[in-house]
Amino acid sequence: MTSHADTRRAFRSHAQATPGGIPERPRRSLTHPARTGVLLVSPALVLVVLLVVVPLGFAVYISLTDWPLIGAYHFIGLRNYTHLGQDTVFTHSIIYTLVYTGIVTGPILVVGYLMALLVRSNRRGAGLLRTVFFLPYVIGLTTLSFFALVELQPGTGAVNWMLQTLGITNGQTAWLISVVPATGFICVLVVWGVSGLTMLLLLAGMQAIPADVYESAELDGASRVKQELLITVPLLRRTIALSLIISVIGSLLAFNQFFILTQGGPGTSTATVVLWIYEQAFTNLHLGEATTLSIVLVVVIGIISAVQFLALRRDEP
Amino acid sequence: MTVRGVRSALAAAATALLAVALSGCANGTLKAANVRVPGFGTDAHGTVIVWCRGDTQTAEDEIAARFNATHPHLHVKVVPIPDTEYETKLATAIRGGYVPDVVDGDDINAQLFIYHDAFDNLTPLIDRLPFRDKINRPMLSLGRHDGRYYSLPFAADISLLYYNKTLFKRAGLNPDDPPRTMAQVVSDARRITKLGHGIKGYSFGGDSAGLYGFTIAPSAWAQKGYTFVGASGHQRADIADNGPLAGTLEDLRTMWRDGSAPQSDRTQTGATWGADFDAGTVGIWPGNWVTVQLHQPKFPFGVTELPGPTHGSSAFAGGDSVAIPRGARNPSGAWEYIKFALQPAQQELLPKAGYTPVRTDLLHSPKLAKYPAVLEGMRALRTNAYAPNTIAYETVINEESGPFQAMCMSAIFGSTPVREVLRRAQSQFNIAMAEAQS
Repeated sequence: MTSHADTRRAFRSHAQATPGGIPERPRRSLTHPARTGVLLVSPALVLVVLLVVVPLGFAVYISLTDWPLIGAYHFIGLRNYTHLGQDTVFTHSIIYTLVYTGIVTGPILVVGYLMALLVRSNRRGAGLLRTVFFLPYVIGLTTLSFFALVELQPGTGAVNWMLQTLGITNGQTAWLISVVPATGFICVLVVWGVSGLTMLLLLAGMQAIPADVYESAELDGASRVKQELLITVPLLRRTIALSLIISVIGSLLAFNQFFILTQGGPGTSTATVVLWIYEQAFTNLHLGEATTLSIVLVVVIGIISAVQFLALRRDEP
Repeated sequence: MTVRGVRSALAAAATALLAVALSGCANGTLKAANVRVPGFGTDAHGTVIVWCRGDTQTAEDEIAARFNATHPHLHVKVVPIPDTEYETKLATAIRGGYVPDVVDGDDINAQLFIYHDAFDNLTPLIDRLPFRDKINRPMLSLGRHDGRYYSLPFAADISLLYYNKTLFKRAGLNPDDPPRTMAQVVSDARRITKLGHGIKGYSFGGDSAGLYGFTIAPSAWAQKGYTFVGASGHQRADIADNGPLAGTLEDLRTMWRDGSAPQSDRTQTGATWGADFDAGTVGIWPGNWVTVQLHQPKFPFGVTELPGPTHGSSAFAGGDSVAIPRGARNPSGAWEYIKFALQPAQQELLPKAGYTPVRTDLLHSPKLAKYPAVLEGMRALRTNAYAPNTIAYETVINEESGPFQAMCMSAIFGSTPVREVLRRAQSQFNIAMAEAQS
């Protein structure tokens, strides 16, 4: 319940004006005091504390132990963190994940943009194309990876059969047993599989741009290319940034496609960071070290996302 | 709740976490069963939960059904777990404190759980078994740690060299004289390949870590080229100077290069492993009874132990072992079931399901006479079969991302000299061993 004092303070605040004469927004709601707000958000807050903060805190604790999946554990302080540099596979997995992210991020954006361009108008067939382009994302990378596993088999897979029919290979190419072809194929698969989401995001942004902006540009003699570069792209800047953030985070957390198609092999040459964390936790049974790696990954992704957000905000009008 | 209230709640949560943190360490092991109590393992009541691998479910289901039909006071419930997830799920169950009563898993990984005090010490129970001396030693030794036994074999899966007698005859080879060395395998494979029409002399799983360990490593063991050296938990990997291993891989490289092995071997993950041999298009195949029994080849075939590069022979003493995990709700019932499963009548069911009995006294059982390949496996278990007693097998050998597969593939399919491949791989093995044993 609002007290008289609260109401007086609110009126006083409301009455204060800036030097330009425009009154400032009141700092508090007249009808909904702070206590009500806190009460309304408290269920969500409790859930966040229970499901996010407490597990995260517990994860931090596990990272300070030598916690195995089975057996006794001991508190070892920061040893898991100080020994991170000695884990050569982890170092390699970071480099590999960054290279993979670098390879797929650009094509996902470009392909997504081009697909959005194709389907942004409401002409005949656009709806069908939208569905076709978005379908791989709906199917999901896990299912696509299993399809790929079957179709990449030498001698029997559709990919090799097609390449043999076209006279390009002898149909016996083993795509997934060497680093370069395996990485290359997974990149192609991922670009195909997730560009649909980028298309959808950009499409929504494109449809929000008023048609009269383009009409004015056309009257001024701007070509279609100029309209795209000088109108669409600048107005889509925030959507593009959002697409990039989603894409980069997804790539840094890549797991399913590598787990299914290469299992990180040969050796650990195609092991991504998350795949290595999984190996440490569930194959080597080193939950303590795996949790340390996870926390480092969370921090790194947080920093990368923050940098992207800051870069986006800096140029805002 | 006010802002101050929220802050207080967060502070309380943080304090609780800190309290947990400051508790320092925890034992992590569950309560051991008292197996010396009178009457343990006889006339138990209740339910026995048995976790078995998906691969052995057929045999386990049949034995459990027999048990349930004859033991009204005790009910066995079989829970199949996918092979590739078995160890992870079991480890997670142990960490969660809710374990099955009987663990029926891959014998090669038993040591990992034994080393971490996850299984009950069964030594006094095993010593009292009337057929104690009839259990094959290679598999039994996989459950041994510090002179005590924590698991015992249940069903064997032995890797052996299978060969197609029809193709041997057609190639002018003696079908009753299987190759005794890898060098002879290479030469026989060449002659069979010359038959043409897509027939190949030899086939192997070229993209499978598990198959390299199961079917290729034993040829090195035949000449004492053991991968793991030292006591379990404190081992090193012997790779760089492992002559028998280098010799075995050299022979495989030779067969790959001269076209004696099919192209598809390079990507053989195990999904269709053995299908070419069972179809009659491959002369020699290092395989197992499970696969042969599954496909029922229509031609006469022979079987022998896996030969070493220049002499000797060995076989992988694989299969399932059974153990009672600490924290089991019904350990007495578990032991009653285990004793039942090891009786001759139950063991004689195994070949039909693709497995080999673990009791050597059944070698002359009339019921097994129709399974010559199984009998060869049982003979191997009495003589040259072996499996490494290590906690590092999964990390170093069995994992697709482990160093063993990468080394084998590089040695067989690459261009770097095999000795050099092994020399370079040593450091990767050292890292993996350190990971597994830390």
